[in-house]
Order: sequence, then C-alpha cells, then structure tokens
Amino acid sequence: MMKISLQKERFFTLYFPLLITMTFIMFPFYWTVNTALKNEGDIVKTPLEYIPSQITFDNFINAWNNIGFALFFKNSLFLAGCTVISVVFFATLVGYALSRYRFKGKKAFLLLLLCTQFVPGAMLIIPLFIIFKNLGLISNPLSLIIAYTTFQIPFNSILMNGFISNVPVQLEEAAMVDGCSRLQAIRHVIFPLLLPGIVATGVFTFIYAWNEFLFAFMLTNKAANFTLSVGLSYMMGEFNINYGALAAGSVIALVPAIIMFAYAQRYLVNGLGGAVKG
Amino acid sequence: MAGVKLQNIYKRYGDTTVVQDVNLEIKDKEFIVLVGPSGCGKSTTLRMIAGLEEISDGDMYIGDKRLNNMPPKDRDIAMVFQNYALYPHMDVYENMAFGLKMRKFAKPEIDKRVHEAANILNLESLLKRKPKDLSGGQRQRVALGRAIVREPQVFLMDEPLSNLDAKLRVQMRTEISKLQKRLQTTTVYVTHDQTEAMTMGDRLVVMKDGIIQQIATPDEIYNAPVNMFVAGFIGSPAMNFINGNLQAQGNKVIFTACGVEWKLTNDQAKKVSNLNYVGKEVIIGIRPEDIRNEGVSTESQKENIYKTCIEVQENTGAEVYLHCTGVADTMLTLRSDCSIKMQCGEKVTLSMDMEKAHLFDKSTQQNIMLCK
Ligand SMILES: Nc1ncnc2c1ncn2[C@@H]1O[C@H](COP(=O)(O)OP(=O)(O)O)[C@@H](O)[C@H]1O
Ligand SMILES: [Mg+2]
Repeated sequence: MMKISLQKERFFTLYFPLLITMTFIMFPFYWTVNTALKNEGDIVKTPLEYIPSQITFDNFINAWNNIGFALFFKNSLFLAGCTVISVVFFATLVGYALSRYRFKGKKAFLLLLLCTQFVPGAMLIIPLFIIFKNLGLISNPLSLIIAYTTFQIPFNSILMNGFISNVPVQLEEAAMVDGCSRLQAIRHVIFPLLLPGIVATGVFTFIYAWNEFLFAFMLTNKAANFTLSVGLSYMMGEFNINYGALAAGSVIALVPAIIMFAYAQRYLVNGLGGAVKG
Repeated sequence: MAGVKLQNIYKRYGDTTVVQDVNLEIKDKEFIVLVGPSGCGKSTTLRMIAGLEEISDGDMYIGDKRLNNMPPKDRDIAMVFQNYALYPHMDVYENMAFGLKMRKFAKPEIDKRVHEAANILNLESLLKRKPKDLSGGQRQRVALGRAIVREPQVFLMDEPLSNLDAKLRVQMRTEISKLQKRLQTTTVYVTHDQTEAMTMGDRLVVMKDGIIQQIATPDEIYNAPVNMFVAGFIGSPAMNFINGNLQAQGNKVIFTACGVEWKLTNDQAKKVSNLNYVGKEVIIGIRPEDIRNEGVSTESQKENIYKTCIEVQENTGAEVYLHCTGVADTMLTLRSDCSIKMQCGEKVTLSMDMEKAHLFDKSTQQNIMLCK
C-alpha cells in the first residue's frame, strides 16, 4: 500500500511535470523533423499526419544540392569557427588581466562590460551597416566576424575572468619558481586547467554565431555569402513557403549545435560549476 | 648551496610600507625562520627572495650574485606554498618532475631524482595518484618532494604546515628538520607559530609591522629578548609583564609596585644605576616557569614573594598553568607541577626568580639589560 502511494506521489511530483515540460519543448522539434521527412503533398494534407505515412529524404537532398544549403552550411561553419577562435583568444586575455592584475578603473571597466549587454542588437544595425559600408565590407564574412566578436567579447571575458580566478595564483607562482616564464606557466599549468572554461566559452560563442540572424541578414546581400539562418529565411517567400526545404534546412542547421552540446556537455557542467579544485 | 643576503630591503605598496629596512645575512646551510604575527610582512619578504614580488628598494644576493631583477625561474630556488599549490592536472610523479622537465633535465636523471625523493618522503606507492586523491599530509610531502628533486640553492617555505592537523604538524616539523639536516640546503622558513620557530630554526628572525625586531638563536631569543614584543611573542604561556618603579634601598635596588617589593640582582642593580633608571618607572618581565609556587605558607622567609590567589587552572597533563590575580588588574601566570593539587580561589605565595627576570624601559620597551 505504502509503496504504491509513494510511487504515485513520485509520479505526480516528478515524472508528470517533467513529461509535460519535455513534450512542450520537444514538440516543435518533432514537428520540424516530421515535416522534413514528408513529401510535399503530405505536408499540407488535412487531416495532419502526426506520423508520416511515407518517409522521404527528398527535402534534404533538394535543400542541400539545389537550394544551396551545402554552401550556407559551409559559410556558417567558417563564420562560427573564426568567431570562436577570435572570441576565445581575446576573452582569455581580457579575463586573465581582469583576474590577475590590479589596475585603476578595473571596477568601472567590469561595469562597462556588463552594460554593453543591455544594448539591444537591433539598435546597432544601422550604425554598423554604415560603418561596414564605408569600410567596403558588406557581404564580406569579415564584417560578421568582427561584429560577432565585438558582441561576444564582453560576456565571455567576464566568464573567463571567473574561470581564471578559480585557478589559484599560487599554481602559476609555483610553476614560475619551478622554471617557467609567465607565458610558459600559462601554457603548462593555467591553460590545461582552463580547458573546461575555454570549451564553455567556445560553445556559447559557436551557438551564438551559428544561430545569429539579424546581423547576418542585414550585412549580407549575396546568396553566395548567406549563412544557414539567412538561407532559411529565404525559404519563406512573399507568396509561398517552401515548407519541406525549410524543415530540412532547419534540421541540417540543428545537427552541429546538437553535436557540439553533446561533446561539450561535461565541460559545460564542470566549467559552469567553476570546479577547478586545487 | 649558497647563502642569502638582504641589504636594506623595502617593500612598498603605494604609500604603505609593508617591509622596512630588512637586513639579513643567511649563512650557507642554515635553517632560518621568519616568525611574527600575521600581516607582519614575512610572506612578502620570502616572496621577494623568490622573485615573485618586486623589491622596492635595497639589494638581494644569493651567493654573491645580485639578483633583484632576476625572474624566479633563474634564481635556483624552490618554494613550498601554504596551500601546497600542487598542479591538479598532473599526478604525483609529474608534479615532482615538472621543475626538472622545465629545466631540460634528461629523462633518466629526472626518473632517478623523483624516485629518490619519493623514497625519502614515503611517496613511492602514490606516484600515479592525482593531488585530489591524496590526504593533507601526503600533499604536503609531495610539495616537499617537488622542492627537493630540484636540489636548489635555497628552499623557501611559507607556512607549509599550517593546513595540517595538530598531530601531523608536530610530526612533519621534525621530518622537515631532519630533511634539511640531511640535504644541507639553505632554508628560509616562514611561520606565525612560535613553537614551530623555536623548534626548527638555527636562527630566528622575529618581525613586527615589517620591521625586524631581533635575529638570534632560539636560546638567545628566549633568554635575552631585545624588547617586550619579542619577549611576549616567544614563549607559551606568554611572559608576565608588571609595571612598577625602581627604588634605591641601601646599596640595593628594589622593584616596587602595589604590594610588591622585589630585589634586583647585583648585575641588574649595577646596570640600572649606570643607566639612571633608579627612581623611574620600568616594566619587569618574568616567564611563567621563573615563578615558583611556595604553597600556602604565609610565614615565608623567602625574598621576592607575591601573595595572591589562583583564579584559573589549566591542566595540560604534564604540567599545570596557574593564572593568579596579578598586580593592578593584571594576571600572573606560572607553570606548576601537576602533583601539587590546588583549588581555584586558594591563596598562594609565589616567589620570583629575579635572576631570570627581564627589565624593560617603559617608553621604548627595550630590554634594559641589553642597552649600552
Ligand atoms: N598587493 C598588496 N597591496 C597592499 N598591501 C599588501 C599587498 N600584499 C600584501 N599587503 C600587505 O602587506 C602586509 C604583509 O603581508 P604578508 O607578508 O602576507 O604578511 P604575513 O605573511 O607576515 O602574514 C599585510 O599587512 C598585507 O595587508
Ligand atoms: Mg603569510
């Protein structure tokens, strides 16, 4: 008796809410995949098919080969990759300086970094467009790399500051007494301990750059330079929406993000927990 | 091996001076202990020797090389940190080998030295463990091992035992002393614990507020402290201080305070007369073991007595500390034999061993007997 009521309680307090939440979150994903696997006729058929009667990969093949998602994918990957490298590089340096050195105006600087996070991106589109136009960088991936790096440095610097502060200074000093220069100490002792933090920073930046739409849309005007998000937006035309390609493209766009999280998951948990123990 | 010489060393942070005019000559093979209350600049001094802290002013030599601006890696020193600072991502072997690897030693030589050190420190079975899987005492030994494999000119240790429990601390105290005797490496050891300092050092450097108070052997520090600070800091329980006056009485000099008349020894009398202290206020300092409990006998013929009552007893097992009502609202502490059973509140007659008493100038707090 007792046992059953306990199980019941557990079901209603734990599994049931989790189930509801999961359904709520997962349904759009399910529907995207579902749509991507249907042929054109079935997509708009009424009544709706919750399980496709006929599975086809045509949408994927079409999106990848004919519409140009292969190119968009490559563009996005290049863009996100470059952004990750430059953000990780700069954020690590800024984080190191913030964590290890005392200097005048450090508090004000930190506050400024935080304040940049309150500026809505949409507000910056026109100034940025003008700047990049004058620099002749419109539709050049460099403009997006610069823009993304700029937006991502503040937050990630604060993040890295936290990670670096978690590595005791004494470790660096011990390494220096043991025969390292400061750079060697960073390379041999600080860097390995910082890896979870660096991976966390990298993943966040990657996902941001991968998903970003507004700037990519505004600063790109040649199809050859479209990112995935921009490419997807063009699937919704003025008069018709290419549901199959849209869904297939979305699934394609999802894959790297999922792989990334799956790989980085343990680093993220470690990194965000700040668990570099001495 | 080499000695270390500090000449007029200063450390300033902006307007605050945390180490002031430190002059210290550490001999080759010597075990020297920097001791003082926390915040007195011991670590800063040590870190300046290590090169981890810039020297604001003065000269520092190891051997006869001046190395004020030499980076730590070129100084040929090894340091043991208070929190051990073991590299968490390396196992015990790698931790110990790291310094040698960075100095480009050959693999077989590294291997030989690490195993030697591991052998000395009983770490052989732990070489493959990561620091997080070690106990505090084991981490401590790895930190020592990391220092000794390097065979450096100088060991620097900053409160290496303060994170250990009391028993292990006593054990490691002798281990480190033994190790230093065996390796004959010049060692600078920082601690705030006066027992550690007294038991380990060949010489002690007592510091206060960034200024060296006295540099001497443990014996000398204990028996001839230069001032009240050193006298009070070294020794446990601490020395008793009593304010009073010096008065001439015939050819003798008497120390008087309310209800107290103690006769100075001839040496002391001569000194205070020469320095014109007679008739002036002084502070007398007597260690707890230099006060004898004469029991309850009121008809004592003894000199230099003080009649009081016991307020608190602290029994340590081997001996008992009696805290008695002292002169003018102070407490008077003495060591006594455990075999004599006393009650709190009981009246006692104490006699002072004036041979062992110290006299301090009231304003400068200097030890009068050591003044010129
Ligand atoms: N970076 C710094 N800026 C200002 N003051 C400091 C700094 N580092 C240490 N101090 C001060 O120097 C004094 C000596 O410190 P320290 O050498 O660590 O003392 P100890 O090791 O004897 O406890 C302390 O009062 C401390 O507040
Ligand atoms: Mg200290």
